[in-house]
Amino acid sequence: MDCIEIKNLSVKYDRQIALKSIDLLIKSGQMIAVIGQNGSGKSTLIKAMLGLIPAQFDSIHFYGKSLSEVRSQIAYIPQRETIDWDFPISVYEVVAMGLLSSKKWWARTSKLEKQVILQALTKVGLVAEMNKQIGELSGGQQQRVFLARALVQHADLLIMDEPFSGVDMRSQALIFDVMKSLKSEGKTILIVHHDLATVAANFDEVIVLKNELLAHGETTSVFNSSIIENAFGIPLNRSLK
Amino acid sequence: MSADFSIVLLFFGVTLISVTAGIIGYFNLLQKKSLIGDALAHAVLPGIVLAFLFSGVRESWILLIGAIIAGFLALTAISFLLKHTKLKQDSVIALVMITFFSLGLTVLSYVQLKPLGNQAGLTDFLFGKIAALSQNDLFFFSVLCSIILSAVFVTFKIIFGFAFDSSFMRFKGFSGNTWSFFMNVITIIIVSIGIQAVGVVLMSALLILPVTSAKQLTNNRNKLIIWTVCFALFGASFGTFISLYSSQLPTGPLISMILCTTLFITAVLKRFTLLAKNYG
Repeated sequence: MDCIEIKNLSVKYDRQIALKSIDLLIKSGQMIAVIGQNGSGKSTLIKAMLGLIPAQFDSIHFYGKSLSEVRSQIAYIPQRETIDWDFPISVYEVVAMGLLSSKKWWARTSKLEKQVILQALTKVGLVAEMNKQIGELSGGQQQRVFLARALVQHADLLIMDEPFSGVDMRSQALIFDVMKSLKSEGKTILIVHHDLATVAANFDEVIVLKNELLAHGETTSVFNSSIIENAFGIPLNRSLK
Repeated sequence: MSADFSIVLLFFGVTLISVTAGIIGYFNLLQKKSLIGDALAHAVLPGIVLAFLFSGVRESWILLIGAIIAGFLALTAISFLLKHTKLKQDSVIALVMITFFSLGLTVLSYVQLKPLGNQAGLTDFLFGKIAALSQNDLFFFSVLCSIILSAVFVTFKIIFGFAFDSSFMRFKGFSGNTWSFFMNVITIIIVSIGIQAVGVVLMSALLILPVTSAKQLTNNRNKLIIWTVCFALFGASFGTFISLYSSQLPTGPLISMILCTTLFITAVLKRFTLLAKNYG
């Protein structure tokens, strides 16, 4: 089944083209990495498809429907740089945000929802930290909090913007484990990724951007020297260092 | 109505205004918009004076309408300048605040020259004078504050969510513009009410100081609100008490001085607590 279908998506910042005429078709049940240099339009692609920034496009469909119809089926984790880590919010409260719904925003958290939050925190190994202010956690733990927020949404599509930025090895392994477990349940995971060394071992498909779509396909066919050199300006073996 | 009852009503009204302003200040701080409250406090002055000039009466609800219009004009000017110029946010806020406040003072001087204007006591808006508030004013303000507090209580999760992670909230289907408009409306209303108690110049004290003092003591969401309310209550009641019993002293500066003292004490306390933690 098609998970995401994008036709002719373009984004401009002032007069500068950030993304030009992107066409994408992503199948369900895959782990997909979006790679490219800084400024190549990776985060812009995510934000544009989720309606977070102005964009021009012919159509964007998730599971054959418009975003507003399938919002509850999608979970989104923003870049950590956008978060104020000194904000007075606890780990538990961040995860509880995942259960907020635009249709029932006034409702109190039910007992069942509290259980769902605890289950998600258990899955990412943060139950003991649930009452801590988020700034008290390490970078890896903070990213796991946002993963837990995505988990409570029971979404079919998980979209993450640089989830491994500033993350320790233990957290990286744990996040990959959770993603693989989600994939085994048939979920789709789309990640903006910067660490090329972990692409081949963990992702089924790769999308390569350079303000336009350079390549998209199975990792084994797309993740090769010529495409990477074109995208990053240096050979693949040097990009992996 | 007895004098004792009037004083109780005055205390109740001013502390309710102060607590409401403190809570709005809490959200402004979380949204990193504390200076907007200060700018609005200055920007509503021309609206209030012009409302009086055109209506010829000092009715709270008429002045409030003028204040709300001026507040929205100021916010629109800030958004426009941020979008269409290269000026930084703090420069834009200062520019709009000075422009509106200057206009307000100019119109105020003009109104003061008229016999009716001289009697209306519009200069009370500059430094605040709670004794100038009528019982009708206090009742009207108390109702408005109660509505604002109830609205904030019901929408707490949403406002808090936007302050923490606006892109997530927008992605979840909440309209950023709607909630921003909602916050702007209640900030303008509380500012318009508050300046009648503490004055234009020191309204930001009610918005900023209680929550800033509270932030020195805790970084827990609920405790932060509780401490903010405590400081707002303390500053307003103590300041009002002194102001009422020494008729020469204006309310605004007194409340502000008390709130500044609490901020100084909490900041020193925090410093010593951190030192004790690091070297203790």
